[in-house]
Order: sequence, then structure tokens, then C-alpha cells
Amino acid sequence: MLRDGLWPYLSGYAIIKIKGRAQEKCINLACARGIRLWDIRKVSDRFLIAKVELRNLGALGPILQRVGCKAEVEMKAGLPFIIGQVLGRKGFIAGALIFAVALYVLSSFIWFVEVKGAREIPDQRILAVVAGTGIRPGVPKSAVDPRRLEQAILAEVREVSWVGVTINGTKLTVEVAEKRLAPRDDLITHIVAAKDALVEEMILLAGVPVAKAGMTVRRGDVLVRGYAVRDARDGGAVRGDRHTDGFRVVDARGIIRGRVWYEGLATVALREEILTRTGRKASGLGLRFAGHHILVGHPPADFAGYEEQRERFGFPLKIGNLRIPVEAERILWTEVRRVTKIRTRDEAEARALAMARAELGLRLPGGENPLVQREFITENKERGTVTARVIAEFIEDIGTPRKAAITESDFIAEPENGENGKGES
Amino acid sequence: MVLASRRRFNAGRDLARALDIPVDVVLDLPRLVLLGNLQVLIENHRGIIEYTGERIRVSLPSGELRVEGSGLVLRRISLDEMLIEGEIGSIAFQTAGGHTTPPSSGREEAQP
Repeated sequence: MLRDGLWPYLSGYAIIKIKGRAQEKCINLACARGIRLWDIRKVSDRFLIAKVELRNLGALGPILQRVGCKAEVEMKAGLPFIIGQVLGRKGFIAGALIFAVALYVLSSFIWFVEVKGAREIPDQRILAVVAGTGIRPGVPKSAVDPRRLEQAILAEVREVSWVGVTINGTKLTVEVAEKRLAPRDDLITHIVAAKDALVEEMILLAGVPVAKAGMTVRRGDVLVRGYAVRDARDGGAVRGDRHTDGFRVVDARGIIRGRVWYEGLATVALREEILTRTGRKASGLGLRFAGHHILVGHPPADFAGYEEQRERFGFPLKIGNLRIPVEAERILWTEVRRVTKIRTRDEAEARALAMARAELGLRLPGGENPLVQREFITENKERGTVTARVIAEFIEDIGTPRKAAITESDFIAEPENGENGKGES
Repeated sequence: MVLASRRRFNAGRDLARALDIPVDVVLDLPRLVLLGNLQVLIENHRGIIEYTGERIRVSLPSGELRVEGSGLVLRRISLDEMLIEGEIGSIAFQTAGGHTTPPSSGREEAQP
């Protein structure tokens, strides 16, 4: 196929017209000499037309002479001539040139900017930095200095630990590796009240006192403020100071002791209806179907009231993989009876006190003995109740550190009496 | 003459069968591949005797082949193979001892 069709086409061939009487002889001879003729066509009685490769055209001459034929070249064809024709067409050449030049020129610009590898950082942020350096689709490649762009991105985007800028064709690829930032330590510590309390004494180690001894504070109130100083003098730093971005942060430190109240409260009625178990019991069987109880047995009719206890037993029924959602359960009924209990005043007081103390005990931090413990009993005649209130007072460390973002209000001039505010009491 | 060639053919055919090789190779016979009436490929030819658009006479090792039809074109020709295209009407053999004219002198020149 290549030999027959494509090669002659690529190398060029001639269409020749052979005249004379011994045309057959001519074909045979050419064939014997290895000159390929093809598409031989008898056009009329007098001549035939054949195709011959250009390189064999010269060799054909002697054969023709020998058999007494004459030949003339009708036309030359094949790729070389087509190229020749094409080259003759100015407009075509101009178009092709313009195309090539346009392709070359346009390929020397950046047309796409791509960001790779950014997970946390939005691509837009990096693209904004890229745009900020003057690089946007349409700038010539020569205007882009990948190393400088890398530096710019590294400087602008703090969360980036590595940047690689590559230009591939018309695409600028920014590859970034994010760094895991340690949580920014631009917080300041204040001391706030952990509980409602009466401030008893303050031992201030650092910070600006807000509360004073004798002040009543509520839970969450700031007791001592930390502060920040813009003028960071080296050497003037105090223990615990931190230097952050051009200013010094002093966290509040100190012990604030306050009087804290704990209260236990209980109310007991003089006349009360309660349920008591009589001790009679009965049991029965029940069924459970798809989570619903289906009662089979009944509690005895003479039970005044009852408590019910159910207990599953046996295994769920199964047929193959099909689980039948029926389960058996055992039911235990306990009879209860409503009883009206009448207490004397003393009984009620004692019970209320005991309950109030128990409740207080649950709330106490434990350990220390109370500074003071007071007990009050009040009676509500209308409702027939006795209420006991037990109050215990403790002295506790009520200060708890709380971190907060540094705001403008945290900046102060250097405190008058030095950082070590002395304890007030 | 005809009988002699017939006998030779039979002997050669038997030999070819016995040795399991193609008969055409043993007997130096032409091989024709006909594609409908549109194309005929002739292998093992000995040149062209006559060529017109209506009739092509091809020299064979023994005799000649006459292809008749219309619009006959020699699509390609090489020393041992030729491809004729066109509307083929008939193909006829004429053995060397037959009544047709012997191959023209062009054939001898084609076989140096």
C-alpha cells in the first residue's frame, strides 16, 4: 500500500502520454527494467496514459527510443507539486504566517492562574496576592519572576510554609503547602470571679485591680485585669511577661479570697400523703410485641394500687433470618397504699433541717470547715409547711483566670506603682 | 501436444499433492484472482501482448490469457503480477499450441 499509493504521492509523480505503435512492448520493457508504471489507461487507439514516479522519468527515455515510442509529460502531481502550488498562493502563506505568529505571541502571555494545594486558605486569598503583584491573565510571561512571586506570597500569607511558582505554557501554577499554625498567643489573662462572693482579701501579683476588699462581686465579674504596654522596653520585663508583635502583655496573676455563701433549703409539710408498700406482691406473664407491652396477666383486683416491674426472659423467636418480634416478659406487681402522714411541728422541723443540711452538703466544696453556719426555720401556717434554711460561709479563692483577646482597652500606660501591685486587704 | 501437457500436468499435480505444496508453483501456472467482474489479479505472467481499453492479452508461461471487457485499465504492473480493473466481460485461455498467434516478440525482450 505504501509503495503503491502513498510513496509516489509523497515523492511526486508524472502523468505521461505514450504515443507510438509498440506501446505494449514499452510497458513490458519498463516493467523488466524496474520502472514502475501504474494506472495505465488506453485513452484512444493512438496513445495511452500512465503514471510514473518522477525519479524514473529519465530512465524511461532510452526505453521509448528503443521501441520507437514518443512520450510527453501531461502533468506532474503529488505532494511536492501541491506544496509548490500552495506556496504560490500569497494569501494562504500570509494566513499561515499570521497564525503561527499569533500562536507564538499569544503563548508568551499568562492566560491562567491556578492555585494548588491550598486546603484551609481560600484560593482567592492567594490569587489576590498574585494579582497584587501585578500578575493577572494577560501579562507577558517575561514580566513574571516566579522567585519574587514566591517571596511575595510567603510574606503575605502567613499560613503558607512553602510556595512553588511554575509556568507551564500559558498557565501559571502556584503550589502551596500550608503550615499548621500554633494558636496565636495574642490572648490576655484576666482574673474573674468564679462565684458570687464578698471580696475578703486580694494578693495581687500582676495586673490592674478592679475589685477591692469588701466589694460584693458576682460570678464572672473581672477582679484583676491583665494589661498590655505598647512601649516594650527590654529589661523592664517582669516575670511572666510576654512580648508579642511589638508590645508587652502582662497577664493578671494573684490570689483573691472571698466570702462565699452556700445555702441548703428544704420544706416539709405537716400533713403529707405518701405511698407505702404493703408488702403484698403478685406476678404474671406478659408479651412484648415490637416494643409494645401486651398484658396477658392482670394485677390482683384487690390491690389498692401497684407498682409494676417487668423483666424480659427467654430469647427472641427466630425462623431462619426472620426475627419474630415477640418476647415474653415476667411482670411483678407490688401493692402500694396511699397513707396520710401527720407530723408534729418538731418532727417536721427536724426533718426539714436534716434535708436542708443534706442539700447544703451536696453543694459544699468539702474539706474546709465553714467559717459560720447559720440555720433558720420558718413556718407557713397557711400551707401547713415548715421550711429550713441552712447557710454556710466559707473563705475561698474565688479568682479564676480567663483568657480573652487583646483589645484596645487593654493597653495602658505603665502602671503607676509598678507591675507588682501589692496585696490589698 | 495437448495430451503431453495434460500428462505433465497430472504428474505435477500428483507430485504437488504428495509433497503438499501448491500446484501453481510446481507447474509454473498463472494464478488468477477475480473480484467479481471488476478486477482481476494475474500472478506469474510474462508480459503484455496487446493492450486496448476493450481487450488485454497477457502472455503466460504456456500460452496466453485474453481478458475482454470495457474500460480496462492496467492499475499496476510488475514483473510477476498485474492488476486489471474495469468491466470484465470474459476471460479466455489459449495454450501455446492452440490456434491463436504466438506471443509477440515484446515478450522475449521483457525477459532478459
